[in-house]
Amino acid sequence: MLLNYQQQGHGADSSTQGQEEHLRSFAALRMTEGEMVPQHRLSRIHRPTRASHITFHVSRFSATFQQPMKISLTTIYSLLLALFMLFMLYQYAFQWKNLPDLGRLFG
Amino acid sequence: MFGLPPLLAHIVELLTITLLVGIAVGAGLVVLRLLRIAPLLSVGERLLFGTLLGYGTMSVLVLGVGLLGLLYTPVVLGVLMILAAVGAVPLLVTLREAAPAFRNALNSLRYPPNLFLAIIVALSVVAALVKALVPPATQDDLMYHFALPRRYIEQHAINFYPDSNYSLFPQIMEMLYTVGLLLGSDRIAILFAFSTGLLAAAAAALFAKRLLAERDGHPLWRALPLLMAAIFLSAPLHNFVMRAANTDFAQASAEMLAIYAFYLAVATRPQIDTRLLMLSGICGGISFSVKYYGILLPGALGLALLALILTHWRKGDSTERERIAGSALRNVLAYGVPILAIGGVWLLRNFIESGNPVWPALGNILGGSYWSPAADPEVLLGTIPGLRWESIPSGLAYQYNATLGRQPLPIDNHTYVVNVGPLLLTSLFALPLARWKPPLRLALYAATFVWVVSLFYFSRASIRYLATVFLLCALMGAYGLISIAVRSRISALAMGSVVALSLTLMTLDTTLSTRPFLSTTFALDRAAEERYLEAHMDDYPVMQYLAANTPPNAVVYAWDSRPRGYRIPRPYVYGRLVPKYSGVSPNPDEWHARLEELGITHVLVHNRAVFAPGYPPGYDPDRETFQALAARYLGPPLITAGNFTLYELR
Repeated sequence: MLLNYQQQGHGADSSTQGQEEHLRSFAALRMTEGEMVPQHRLSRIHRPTRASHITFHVSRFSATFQQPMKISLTTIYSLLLALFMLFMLYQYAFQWKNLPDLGRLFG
Repeated sequence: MFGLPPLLAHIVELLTITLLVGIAVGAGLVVLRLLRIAPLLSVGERLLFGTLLGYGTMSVLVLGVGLLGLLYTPVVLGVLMILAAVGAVPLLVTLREAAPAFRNALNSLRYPPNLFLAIIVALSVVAALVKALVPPATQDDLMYHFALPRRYIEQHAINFYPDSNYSLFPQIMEMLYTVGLLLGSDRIAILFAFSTGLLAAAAAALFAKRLLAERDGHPLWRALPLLMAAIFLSAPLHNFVMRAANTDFAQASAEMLAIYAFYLAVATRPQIDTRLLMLSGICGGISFSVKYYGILLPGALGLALLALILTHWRKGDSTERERIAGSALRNVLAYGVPILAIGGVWLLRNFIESGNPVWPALGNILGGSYWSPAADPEVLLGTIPGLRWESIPSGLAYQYNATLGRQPLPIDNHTYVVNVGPLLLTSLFALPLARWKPPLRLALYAATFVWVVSLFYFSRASIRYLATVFLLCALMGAYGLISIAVRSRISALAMGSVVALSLTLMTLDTTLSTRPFLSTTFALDRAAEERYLEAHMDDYPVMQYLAANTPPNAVVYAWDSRPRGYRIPRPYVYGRLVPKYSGVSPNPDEWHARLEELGITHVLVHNRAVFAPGYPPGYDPDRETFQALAARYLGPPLITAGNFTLYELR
């Protein structure tokens, strides 16, 4: 059934990310029903096997967030990269138009 | 062109270049078929490789005609007609075959990221085109890219002009410029160079589409080719390069196609494909024929081929080793012979003309015409740093400044942003999270090789010389950005918005930078081009004076470290580049005697700091000797414009 579900490609959304999310939830469901998920498929679903998420326990600070927030290292890296690219864009676009050169902050 | 107002002339020029590119592609397709390579390539690949091979074929034929002293318009038109006749059918058949691919490409624009990227690419290309269609006033074009073809056309022959140390450089692109000038338009010549920028971007985009994109993955992968092209073409440096007849993109396109064919040859089949290897070698030979530096990457690919053969041989069993040993020589020859044959044409010509195959380079070892230790023709070309570790930090500092930190520069009375912008290099930081496929590794190795070598040698040259590295960076960066964006929605949003913002701002900036050119490019009044030259060439009043006030047989001695012969309306001799030829001597009488021998009647002096990279600021080896000559033999100034002064020789 797992295989069939994967092959159907979830209609219009056939993205890898979408598939992985569905597979992950489906695997969790099967586990609660007491059925084994083949090990090779689990490793595919949860790759990479190393720690890939950081969990933020925001509930400590605010009652609004009752569930811990999980954010992947990939996402953190991409956000940092986006910030760096924004900085480079600022340097490109404004440095020579007499706006502060932020590069000097870093020596 | 044809005395038409600029706007109408540009329409004719654009139609003409389309026709000429079509003729070249047709000829290239014939070459691909003759070498039995065509069946190994997709239709898109055939068109791209065909363009490069067609340019090569056209250039070699023009060189042949020129060396035979038959450089007349009817002869060259005859050659073009023969090429057109030979290539018409293959071109039409291939275009018919390509029609579904073109339709698919148009359909892919319904995907919003692709539509956005297509607009960015289109605006960048149009902005560069607007700048390219004004009368050429850029230093290198005036000094040799167009100056030499003008001399060839005037003499109806491709001769050695020993006063110009560029005279014996490989000149595959200059042959195409000669065709443009023969047809009556230097804008056609520039458009040849312009087309190589598009060819380079298209070659890398097709490489990305065919060999890097995940076919059944996230829809964003469909945007990879256009993202690659957008990152490359929107870089301000590239918009600057595409406005002139610089040959950097011709080299980049040849090198990119050499890498492409090399990868197809060695990686996509069980055995190395000899014919594709030969195609890679041909592209490498063309790269060398554009510029001496163009041998670096083909050389590196050659070393990679040897390493591959050795690795396969070491890993194989005895039967396999026997097979590899049998095919090794064939593969090495298939790759190396085209490079030697195509590149050898220029080296042989140089050797026959000057006695030095790379004249005037390596004169201290190989000697050659008009070379002596006391009058080295390479002095004003500048020095290159030695192969020392200390060269690396200075090279890095230069490259950082030129690629990322450089302020806009005033060039030809325009202000140009000539760095690579905020996206091209920063996008490489996305690569650590990308899936490392073999074609990506090949691109990285090739870019790293040229970049590392450039740290040692190019740190005193123009950053344009790294065009191939930047092309490969755009390819890798686009792949990295999409790799990271498809990981999660937050990543896609973050990357997508920053990339879109960067591309939009750069393109907006580039589009706005066309303002000083619009009134000339779209003019209906022919005087607009005169006004443009008056505004952007400090020495233009001197050129007008020469045309109006000197006899047709006047000969001008251009005493300038960067002389601009294309616009000098009389025969001329460059005074400074090859001192031994032009008679430079501490003895004014001897020098004067040589000037009389050369028929010099006027001396055009450019008073400025000599541009000789690697020497101390203000270094001028001939300042005092020239002052002695001037005091004795130059008449009163006839006209002064900017730092230029014209004298009569007494």
